[in-house]
Amino acid sequence: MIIYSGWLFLIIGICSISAASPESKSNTLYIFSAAGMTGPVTEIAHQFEVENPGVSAIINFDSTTSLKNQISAGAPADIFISADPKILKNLSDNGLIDTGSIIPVASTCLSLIVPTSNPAGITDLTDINQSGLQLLVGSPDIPIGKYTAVMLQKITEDPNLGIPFTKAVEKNIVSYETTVAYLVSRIILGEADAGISYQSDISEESKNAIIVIPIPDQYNVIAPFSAGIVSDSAYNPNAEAFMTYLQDDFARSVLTKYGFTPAV
Amino acid sequence: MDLLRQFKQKDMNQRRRRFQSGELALFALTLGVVLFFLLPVFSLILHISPDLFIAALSSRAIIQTILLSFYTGGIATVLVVIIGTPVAYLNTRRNYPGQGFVESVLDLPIVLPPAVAGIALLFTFGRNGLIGSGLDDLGIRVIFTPLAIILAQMFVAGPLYIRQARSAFLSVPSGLEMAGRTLGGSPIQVFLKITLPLARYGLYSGAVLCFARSIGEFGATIMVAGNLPGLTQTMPLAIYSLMQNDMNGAISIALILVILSFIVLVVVRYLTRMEQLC
Amino acid sequence: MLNVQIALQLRAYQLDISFSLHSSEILVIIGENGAGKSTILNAITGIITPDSGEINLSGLVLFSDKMKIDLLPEERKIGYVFQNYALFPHMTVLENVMFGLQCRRVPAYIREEEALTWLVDLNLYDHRHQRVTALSGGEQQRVALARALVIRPDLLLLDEPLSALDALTRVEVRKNLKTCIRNSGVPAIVVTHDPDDAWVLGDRICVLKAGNIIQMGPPDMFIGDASKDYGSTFFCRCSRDV
Repeated sequence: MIIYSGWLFLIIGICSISAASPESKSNTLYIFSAAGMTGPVTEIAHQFEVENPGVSAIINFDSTTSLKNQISAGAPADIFISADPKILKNLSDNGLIDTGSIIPVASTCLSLIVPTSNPAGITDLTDINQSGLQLLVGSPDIPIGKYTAVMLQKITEDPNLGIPFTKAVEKNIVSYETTVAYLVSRIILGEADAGISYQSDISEESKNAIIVIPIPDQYNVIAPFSAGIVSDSAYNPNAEAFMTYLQDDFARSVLTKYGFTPAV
Repeated sequence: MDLLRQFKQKDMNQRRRRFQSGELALFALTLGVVLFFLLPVFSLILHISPDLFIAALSSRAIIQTILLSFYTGGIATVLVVIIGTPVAYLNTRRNYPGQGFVESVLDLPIVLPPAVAGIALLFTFGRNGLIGSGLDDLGIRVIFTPLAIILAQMFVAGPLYIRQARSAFLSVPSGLEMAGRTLGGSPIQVFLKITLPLARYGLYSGAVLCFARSIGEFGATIMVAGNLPGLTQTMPLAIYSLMQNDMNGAISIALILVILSFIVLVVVRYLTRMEQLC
Repeated sequence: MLNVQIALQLRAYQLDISFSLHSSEILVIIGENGAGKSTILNAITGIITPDSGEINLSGLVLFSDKMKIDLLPEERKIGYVFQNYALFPHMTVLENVMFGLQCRRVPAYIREEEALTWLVDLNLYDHRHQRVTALSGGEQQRVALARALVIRPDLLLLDEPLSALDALTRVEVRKNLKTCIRNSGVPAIVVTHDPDDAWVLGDRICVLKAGNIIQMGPPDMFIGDASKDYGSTFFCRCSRDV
């Protein structure tokens, strides 16, 4: 199994595609996955390889938006796992994703994450307006950023917190991260005081290195992850098999382990 | 005898013709290479119309990112020149033990991948970093500020200036400095009145290269500075961000960087020629 | 009045010399290339530090390893004309000549006046605003001389002052050089490998071989049988008529 990230994949992928013969191609599976599912997708893909000897899964983790741009530019993906159903729909409307293949995978919601050392002493969502706090959020172009904006809007509409609260929170934002992976990494390193990320752990590493503080339901946002088969790729039996695999028991158990709620 | 001469003549003609066809291939190759470098630039220009370009440029966010890049790049370059000039000078005029090591270290960031530089700087100046933790106690924050950008730019682009400065100082004969000393000039007077004026074109072009490299720096800056429009979103980072949903903005900034690069090239060529005339 | 007594380890051998120079005297040091001639000049100026010995000039100790004195080049009042003149290419003739005075913080109008006086004496007045690179070899040599003399040194050193000139200009320049040094009243040491230069310029000639002075005396000491001594091998004609 090989994991790449970002646009590097486009270059390497195109080179290997052009050099690949039809036979070898049917044994590789290119999975473009939202960074928020790094941990579970890695484990699920690995087990898929074990159960389907000869298949090699090559995974590209990046922000959903970046992956969408790569696929639009012709990157060789077989499967696209998206953190934002609208983006998946957008691609399928443009004929890049096979509309009939789209399935929901799992969902999660947002939470506050802090380093284990918790330098700012955060216990609760209402603590994030304290002056001088270094807060990380996702860039508004990526799903986590969009969900965060929705959440902040809900907070603004709450008369108890309202605009003064969200204004103070916005002042505390020190960086709009371009992918949730960077956001979590910075928190793990202790570079910032807090971040707004997914409630589910994005990887094994993040499980142990951060503290997850839940956000009250009234402000929280459901983030549904879905997947689809890329139409451009030539008929790949492994793609369909993997989509089925995502809905099977093993995948569901892994997703649950990481804190996701698998789709019914 | 005549036959021999005829053979030699024929051989020379053939050699001449063979040489010309070889030359043609070289020209074709050169044309291919030139196109390879020019086409991406042209494709950028083709993707945007002039009014969209101007509109994008007047957007406040984009103006902010351009100003930020110039501001941080400018300060980084000034600091590099102030600190790097005496260092480069010392290394050309004195031999000391470990000099080879020092010069290799000064060259290192040139070959180091920017992402590696970024991580290294993060672990040095981050809140829990080697130096960063000490600064944090003093209340000075480096990460997520323009200071981090400047540090990253200095780290990545500084060695370019130091290299040029070294070469510029080497081109000034030390005999001239000796003459200055015998005439009564102190080492500082000699440096300011003799060495510096004679080395100035090399130093200028070094500074220009340092500035251009600073503005274009991306991998290291995103790691240590994060992404905050208006405060830490430099031009390359803006391109990366805007590519998601404002293609015109991204292309506009990219075009500015292209134009800037051309200007840098022209200026450096001019300075190099002036240096050779001196 | 210059007293020099120094020892210095060179690459191939030990430089070990001792001599004195009287005021208004021109001493020529002659020897093969690599004998150590330029090294002596560099040691007197302070560019090189000898291993041991003493140098004093007009009563001031420039170097003494016993007393641990070693004055910096800029602290010694010595004018040095380098072999390739070492004129500053980014400055005009006038600026070059004024350089030493400028470093010593002489006020602008005084230094200009002093420099111009020398330029007039040496027929360089018309070139005063030209870049030194535009001058001929002989003119450049005169600029180097003016530059060294304008600071009113106690001693003048010249390293192969005529070697960069072609044979024709050499004769003319050599005569003028002698006159100029004489008129300045500054004692001088000229280093050369050319016997004609030595003969014309020197009040005393000193022969250097492998780091040691093997002969020293007035020029006529060297006329005579070529086979007699090493010194005379430089002057391999019985009489000179230059």
